[in-house]
Amino acid sequence: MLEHSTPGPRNEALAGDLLEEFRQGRSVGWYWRQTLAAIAIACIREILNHRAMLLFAVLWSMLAPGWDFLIEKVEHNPSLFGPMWTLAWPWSTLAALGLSLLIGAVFIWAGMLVYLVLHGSLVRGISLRRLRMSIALSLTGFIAVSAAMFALTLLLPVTGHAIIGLGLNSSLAPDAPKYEGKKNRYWTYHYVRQVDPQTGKPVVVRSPVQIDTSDFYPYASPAPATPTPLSEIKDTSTRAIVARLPYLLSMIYALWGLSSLPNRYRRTRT
Amino acid sequence: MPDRTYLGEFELMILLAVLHLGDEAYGVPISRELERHRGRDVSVGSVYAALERLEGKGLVASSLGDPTPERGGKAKRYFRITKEGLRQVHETRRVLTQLWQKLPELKGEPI
Repeated sequence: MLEHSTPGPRNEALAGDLLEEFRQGRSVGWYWRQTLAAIAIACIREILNHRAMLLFAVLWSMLAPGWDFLIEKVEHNPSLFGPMWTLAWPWSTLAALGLSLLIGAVFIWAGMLVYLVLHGSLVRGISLRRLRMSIALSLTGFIAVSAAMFALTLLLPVTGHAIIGLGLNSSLAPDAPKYEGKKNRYWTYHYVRQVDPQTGKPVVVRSPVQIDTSDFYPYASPAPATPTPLSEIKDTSTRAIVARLPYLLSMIYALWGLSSLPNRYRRTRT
Repeated sequence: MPDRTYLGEFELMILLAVLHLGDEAYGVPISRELERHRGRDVSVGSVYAALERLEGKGLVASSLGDPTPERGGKAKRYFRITKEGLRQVHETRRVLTQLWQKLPELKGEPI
């Protein structure tokens, strides 16, 4: 447990010492206290060893809401990305998700670059393989955290209903809806097939759907918007913290391996 | 310019224990030595953390012994004080002794 639960370099001598003491008559309680204390100390030491990276990740992620705000203007520009949204489902949704992930990843990669430049000594000592791995970790970490946030935002409250609002060309609109943009409120139309009650013949009805880009996740959903845990947050500063979370966690995940132990701990022991 | 790396209380105790134990200075005896003098339990993990800090500062050096069955096949890690470590111990002792000597007689001190 001690060997596998402690971050950083393994300390087999410590495990051996505890075992030796236990076999010489120490109690089970003593053994567990020592083991848990050793794990806690190792964790704290790892955090302290990475304190510069953690501080940088916190500071960099503070820029995330600003980045989101900046990108939102571009992302919802009909002339730039309008055609993408008129793709047939599920390609429209996949393209929108891919774009969001790419934009987020660019922010994280920029942060990694700044961190590496600030840590000049780290750049000199880093291998290309570790850098590639770190970039891959940042992407997988961001996808994982974003997926968790997405689930928390859309899927948790009413499974099924929220999925209807997923993407502009959802299952309700297989006929490629028109897209119109106006300021920060956009309208799109779902074409729904219905049976005309008077004639009894099938007709296509144009049903407007409003997208409010001030929503945390601006996916189309039938008005009024479905209440979700994150969309319920009204306080601006709390929303900013929530918006930072995927970036912060992904950056820590990616940079942890890069910001290795300080030189004094790298000493080869004989 | 003098070295400004001061020893903490726990670090000083560990260095003194390592000095006292000589060739037998590894985790278990060091912890026992500290427990005996402090009169309370010592976390072996914190002893190792302090020893690694001291090793990072170049005040102690370590070497691995042979693995033994009673330790689950895990080797002992022996520590010895370096020249710099010894210098710092003497320096700390000198400063502390001077400070104690300059103190007026303390009233109500524990017996």
